[in-house]
Amino acid sequence: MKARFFTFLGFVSLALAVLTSCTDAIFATIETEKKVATNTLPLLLSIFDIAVTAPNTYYVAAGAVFRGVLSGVGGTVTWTPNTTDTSRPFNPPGNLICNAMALFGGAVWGGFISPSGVASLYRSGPTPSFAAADGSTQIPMVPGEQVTLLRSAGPAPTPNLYIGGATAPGSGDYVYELDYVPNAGTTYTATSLTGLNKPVVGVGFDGTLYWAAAGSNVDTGWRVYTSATRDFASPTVVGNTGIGADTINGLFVADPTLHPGVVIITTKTSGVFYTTNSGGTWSHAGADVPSGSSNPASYLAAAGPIDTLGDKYLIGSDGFGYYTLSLSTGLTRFQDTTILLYTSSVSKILVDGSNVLMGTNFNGLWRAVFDANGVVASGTNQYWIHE
Amino acid sequence: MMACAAAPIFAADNQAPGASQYALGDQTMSINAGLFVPLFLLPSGVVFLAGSPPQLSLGAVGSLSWAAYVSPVIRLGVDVAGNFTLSPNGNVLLMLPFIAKAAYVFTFYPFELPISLGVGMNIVKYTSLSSIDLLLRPGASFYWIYNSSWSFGLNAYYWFDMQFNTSPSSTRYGNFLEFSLSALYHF
Repeated sequence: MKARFFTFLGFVSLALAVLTSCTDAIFATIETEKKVATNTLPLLLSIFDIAVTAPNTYYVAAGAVFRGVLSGVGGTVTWTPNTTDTSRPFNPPGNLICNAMALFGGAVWGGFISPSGVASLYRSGPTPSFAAADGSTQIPMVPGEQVTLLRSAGPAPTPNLYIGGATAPGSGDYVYELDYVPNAGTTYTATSLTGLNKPVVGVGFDGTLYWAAAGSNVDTGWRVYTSATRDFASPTVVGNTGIGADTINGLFVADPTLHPGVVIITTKTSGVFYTTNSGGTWSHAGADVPSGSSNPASYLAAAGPIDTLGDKYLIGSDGFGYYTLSLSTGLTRFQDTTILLYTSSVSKILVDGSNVLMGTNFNGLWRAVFDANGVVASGTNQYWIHE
Repeated sequence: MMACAAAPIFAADNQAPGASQYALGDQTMSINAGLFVPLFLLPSGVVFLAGSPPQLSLGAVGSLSWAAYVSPVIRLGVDVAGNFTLSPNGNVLLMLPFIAKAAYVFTFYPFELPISLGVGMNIVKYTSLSSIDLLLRPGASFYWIYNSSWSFGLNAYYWFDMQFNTSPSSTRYGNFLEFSLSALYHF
């Protein structure tokens, strides 16, 4: 009798243990789920770059170039569609694919590739628009060189435009370099960072130093470079980040007029490395291993800050949505499991005041409003919208 | 003589009203499919079908059942079911319960009315979240006895899903209804 009782008790305990050991709050999640609003952009776009050209005016490189105008705080974005091969406003002729874009010198610069693989670099007309009728200009390029990155960096009001270039030799692997257009210029020239084995994945200016993350012309590893001059004439290899041999996915430098000395580096397996004193000391936020994954999250992009204190930055990840990096407390993953952004690869982030745009791979463009504390707002047209 | 030999067969298909034709050891299997209706959550009081869009949509349910008679009117068995509904963002809420069931069968030939109570565990999956809940499922069925082997009918079950959580504020009790068609095989 006692044996049966204890056996029964054992089964009950086991059942309770099973029931309470695997209990995510599913119903509590569903009861607060909000339907994500959608807009008129195709929902499965892959976003190559995003630029803000004027207050509330956004240009998105996603194959073609899409232009959107935000109606105001808590408003909606009106996107100009690219409906057919012959109806592509704001785009250069020839069904070109735009893979890089930046605002520089009052114009938008765009790197393009034709369907046959011919690369080109355009400077927009005054609208701004890459359409020939709107006064766009094609910038002569070194034959065979493709644009992989466009960034404006340097002391205001005279920044430079940096161009990441890739050239395919007759045989063997691509060779990469960093070029630049000096302030108010219209032609580019190479910096000293040439003959690299890996592409340039980030360029910035922290108020004192120019920064770049790219490969090396010595070996196949990754490097972080600094230079006091815009042409990286005598670059310094930053050796104290702690990154080691990991792949560098991106480098972001905060606006030096507001947050000087802040540099954030995103890596493939080692998390995020950041400095607030121009590289004097470095902090490290280790990579999250998301639930259900056996691998650390790979971080692709960074932007910010999104709060008024300058403490919180947004970090895009490969397949796990985005994280918030607090310079004081580390990485926290965006928690809403009910929307597609949670499992998207966020490769581009643009912070425009309280408006944040996130470009993903194959899951389109997302937009939200963040409050002064760096938290996503929840009002109508303020929570994440799948544009 | 031939009529007498055939008498037992006719007796099985022409049962007296109120009398069970089953005995200890008889078994049944059934296949069921139908509509899954989300009702509300406790203690939050959220009504699933309220709002535009609703928190959960109407869904579909299917199940397989086996039972054995332990007396002419009581059968015990197990059910394995599966159902799905959709959230406002098109996420699928999946449930896979394994239920131990007891039924008391009222027979009003050619109809029978099993009243049942099921208890089991419900495996619930939603996006990357998963849970194993305790499920109570009382209900009733109504069958037309077609012949000694087959019956066809309807089920109506109430699902009371207890989703406990280590954080008490996240514990919820889900309430659902199932209306399904059933084909029952006696053997």
